Amino acid sequence: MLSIVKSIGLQGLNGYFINIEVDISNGMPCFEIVGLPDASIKESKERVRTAIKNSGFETLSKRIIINLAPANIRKEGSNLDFPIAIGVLIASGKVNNNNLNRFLEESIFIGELSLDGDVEKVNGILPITIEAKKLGIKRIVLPKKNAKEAAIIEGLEVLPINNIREIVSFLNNENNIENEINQTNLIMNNKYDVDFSDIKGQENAKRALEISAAGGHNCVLIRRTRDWQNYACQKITKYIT
Amino acid sequence: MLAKRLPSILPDITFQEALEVTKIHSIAGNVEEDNPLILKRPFRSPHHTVTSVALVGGGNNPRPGEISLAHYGVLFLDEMTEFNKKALEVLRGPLEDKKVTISRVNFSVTYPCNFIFIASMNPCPCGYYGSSIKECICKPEQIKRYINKISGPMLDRIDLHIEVESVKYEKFNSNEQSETSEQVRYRVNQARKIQIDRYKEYGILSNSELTPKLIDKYCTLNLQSKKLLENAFERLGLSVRAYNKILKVARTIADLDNSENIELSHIAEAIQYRSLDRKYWGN
Amino acid sequence: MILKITQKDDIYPDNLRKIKNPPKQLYLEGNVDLLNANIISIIGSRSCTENGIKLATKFAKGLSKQGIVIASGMAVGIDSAAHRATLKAKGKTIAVLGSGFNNIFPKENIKLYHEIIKNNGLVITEYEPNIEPSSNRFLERNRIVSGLSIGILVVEAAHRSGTSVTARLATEQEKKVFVLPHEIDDIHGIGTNRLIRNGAILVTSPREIIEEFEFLEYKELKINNTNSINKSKRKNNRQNKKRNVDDKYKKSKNKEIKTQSCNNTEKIFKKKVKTEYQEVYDLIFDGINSIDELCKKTGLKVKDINNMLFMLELEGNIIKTSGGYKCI
Repeated sequence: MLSIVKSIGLQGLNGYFINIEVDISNGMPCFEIVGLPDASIKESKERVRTAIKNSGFETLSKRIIINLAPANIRKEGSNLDFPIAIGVLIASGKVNNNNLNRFLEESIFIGELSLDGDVEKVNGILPITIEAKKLGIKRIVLPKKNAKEAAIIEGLEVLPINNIREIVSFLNNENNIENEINQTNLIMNNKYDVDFSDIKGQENAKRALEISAAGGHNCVLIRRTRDWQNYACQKITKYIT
Repeated sequence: MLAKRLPSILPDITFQEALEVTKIHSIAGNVEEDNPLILKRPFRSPHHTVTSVALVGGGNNPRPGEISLAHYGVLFLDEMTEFNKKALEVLRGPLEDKKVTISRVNFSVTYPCNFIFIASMNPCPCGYYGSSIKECICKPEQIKRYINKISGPMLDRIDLHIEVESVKYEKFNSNEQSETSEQVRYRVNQARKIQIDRYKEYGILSNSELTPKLIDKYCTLNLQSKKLLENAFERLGLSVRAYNKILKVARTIADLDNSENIELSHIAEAIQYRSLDRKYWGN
Repeated sequence: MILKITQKDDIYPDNLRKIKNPPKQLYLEGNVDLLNANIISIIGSRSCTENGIKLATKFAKGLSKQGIVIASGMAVGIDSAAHRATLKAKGKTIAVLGSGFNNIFPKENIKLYHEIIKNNGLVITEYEPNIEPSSNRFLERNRIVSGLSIGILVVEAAHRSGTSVTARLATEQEKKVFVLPHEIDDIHGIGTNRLIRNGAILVTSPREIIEEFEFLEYKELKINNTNSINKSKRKNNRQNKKRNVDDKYKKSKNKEIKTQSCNNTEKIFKKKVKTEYQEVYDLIFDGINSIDELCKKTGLKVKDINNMLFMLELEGNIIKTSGGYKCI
């Protein structure tokens, strides 16, 4: 059986679809990933198989071929562990859901897997979410630890997942997972840990920095760090400037 | 410490800017789980052993470098003379274009890098030039060579030369009231608003981005100011590269002063921040 | 008034003619008669101990009361202590500068320089008025310090110090080198103790120095109880002394060459600039260089201070040098 699960990869800040195609058939047992995976993706193989096994699903002695389309872009990272695992589980009939196809069409899956089946956080979620929305995706299924980040963007459902069993149950309509609602403060409060008033004196430099800030001007600080009058000053001047 | 506080007086960060900053930092793995949106302008201060790749970005699937992590914030190069010359060279293009494009065989990746650049250095090889406490033992040629080592093109992108004085011990214990970042930021915001408004048809947002054509248009001087500037150039031996920069900085000082025209006092102050251009820096 | 003399002039000191590489010209300000007096230099480290200052003071006072003219380099530390002690003891002192008259270094000694002139002392340099001080020049100047003297007294010298170099120069010039002993583990005495090993004369009192010279005689001085001395008598004595010196000064032949770059010291005193800048100008004159301090003392904002500094510079009243802003 063939299943297609979607994900998104990044080139810089630009996103592109990755379709994870999983085909399971009879034949010599194997588990292959093709589609220009780099070394880190090749390692996914081990993580996926072990995570599936440790989540209580049968290890399949079948011929499993996974293609990461488009095949001409090099894929890297551990982000695709999760969608690959889901693709394998769907292709081996572990999910029964009439609306599955539509769900898969409008969602992307992303996340790393640990050996016990937990879905671990990854980098780059915010740009991926933004690109997903641009590309017409309605839902992002991702690690719980990344959920708040994705939820910053409105107009997409964010489904936070702890582990593989949870999502499989969800897809089988056996449980419910709440979408992540944005709780992040979106109001710019401009609060910094440091303040200009921490610096005593240095009025000339402060004035110059004000001018720099106001006009966006680059500056060079010319520091005489070796005025020896007070040894403490020597060290502190450097620290303080 | 001074440089570190610059982000706190930069104009208020907008939501769009915060989003851009967070995007880049997300790729680098810098966002917090519970407070993912970065609400402060970034401050990046790479050590002088940083490689060119770490500075501008790179890798198989190029990740952002320090300059992009400083996007909408501040990049601080402490002891600029200690940095690898190659690393400094690769900075030039991005400083100018405010973005960096990293090419691979099949594709190229562009990251934005619109930051304020601050560097620090000694005034001369021995470090004492200008000190009234200990004498400078450098010969003029040594000083000129030292300044030139920092590469003309880099200095060309720097508008302000700030001489920092050594801190006297009494200062630490003083109860002097200093202005807070918020108070300074208020003035900075006002000045920036004026600039955004003035340049809206031209697609630039601040005086530092002025092209020579726009300088001619928006930084005109009256006759008195022109004469003063000429006089200063002659008397202080300023180099030609300083001319446009002085005008840009004077324009900002005038904006801070809420003055439509650039007055004498604005020019005078701008010239005070061009110490390294003086012909006699080193005498 | 600053005089410029060359080797051709009569008043060019003979003992300087004899040294290796004598200065081609000398700029003099003050009492030029002192060039012919018996001069002993007192030298020592710039970073000296309290004890060093005490000793320099003691010897300067003791020797000047014997009529010896004390010479030194007017540097921070031992030199300044020697000059000050001499002035306090109403003696005569000569300061040899390592720079031109327009660049008195260090700046905190500008007052001392004026004091020396006021008290009939002499300030000399071989450098043109606008020449700035530098380490090399300090070393070069030391040959003049020892060249002018009949002997030099080394108060303190650390392991590798300019003072030790000067002592060596003095030996080459065949001048007597007197040294004060130090504790063997005192780092400030490593140089002096080494000089003693190499043949310098160990002394422990000004008397011992005087007694080393056949043509000098040590005078026993009455212990002056300040309370018992008639104030007016002292005043009279002082006035008399001054008159005598003035007469001598007028009698000696002077060649006054005012070079274009030679600045009249009175000009420095009385310069008046635009009223709004006067306060800042005066502060710079007093050696206050840092913008922070100028702001604090005037209560003005940085931008205003910067404006004034610019205008003062543009109008030629101050100049930005390697030692910060200076009045011209």
